[in-house]
Amino acid sequence: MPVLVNFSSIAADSTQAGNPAGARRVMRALAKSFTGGWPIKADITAGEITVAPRITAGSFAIYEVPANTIDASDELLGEPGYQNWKQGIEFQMAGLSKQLQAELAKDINAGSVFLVELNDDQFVVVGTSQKPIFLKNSGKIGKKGSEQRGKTLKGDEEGYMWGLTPLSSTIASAITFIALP
Amino acid sequence: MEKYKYKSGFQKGKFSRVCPGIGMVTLDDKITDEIAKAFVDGGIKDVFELVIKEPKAISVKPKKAIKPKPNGKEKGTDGDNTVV
Repeated sequence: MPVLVNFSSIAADSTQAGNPAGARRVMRALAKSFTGGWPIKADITAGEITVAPRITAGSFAIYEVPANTIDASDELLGEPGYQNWKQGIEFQMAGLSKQLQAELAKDINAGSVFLVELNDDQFVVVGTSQKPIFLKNSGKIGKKGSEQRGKTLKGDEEGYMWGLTPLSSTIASAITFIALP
Repeated sequence: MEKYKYKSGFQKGKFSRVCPGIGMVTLDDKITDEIAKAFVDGGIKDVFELVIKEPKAISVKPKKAIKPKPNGKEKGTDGDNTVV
């Protein structure tokens, strides 16, 4: 039986602190490249993930995408007694290059774990190596001029024991990303 | 960088890291001492190390021996010092 923990008082009105929405970058790693489950419930302490990804250094890629196009979400689903979390991510990638096409071809039947760098400098984790997010992409060339030529990528999954959870800043600093070209 | 250097074996230009207090940086030749210091001060010690310079050997020139004056007396020391 889990230990019952009563509620705590909390100030959640962002008094005298900025509360910017949105994110700057998306980082991702193939779920199959993890050497163990990450994150798992035991990796979460006091509301944040405090254990480094169980993965080889340099396995997380960085996507720089058009401004204000990244969103991540969570939702508590189910009836009392059967509740669980849904997590999701959505972002856009501009252009129609061979590099972009080659990159997105890696998504076929392959799930990923995502890190999202928020505008308040926090990182949140979306998906787990044991229950990864499978992205679906749709694209368009646009009819003229400034219409958005590129891809929209979306993915979500349910059945998690937690919602979007921030990564401890110490762990964020310890992760080695593949540098942008 | 002058005061810091990459630890041996680190592949410059291939990776990025989140520098505490600064944000995402590419670990290449453009990194400054300030950023390297922020990594080390922030507890990230597997990328940079302080350059330890060999202390310069101090060359001491032998002082010339002071030759005593022929009379053995110094100016102003002879005679009566009594103030009248």
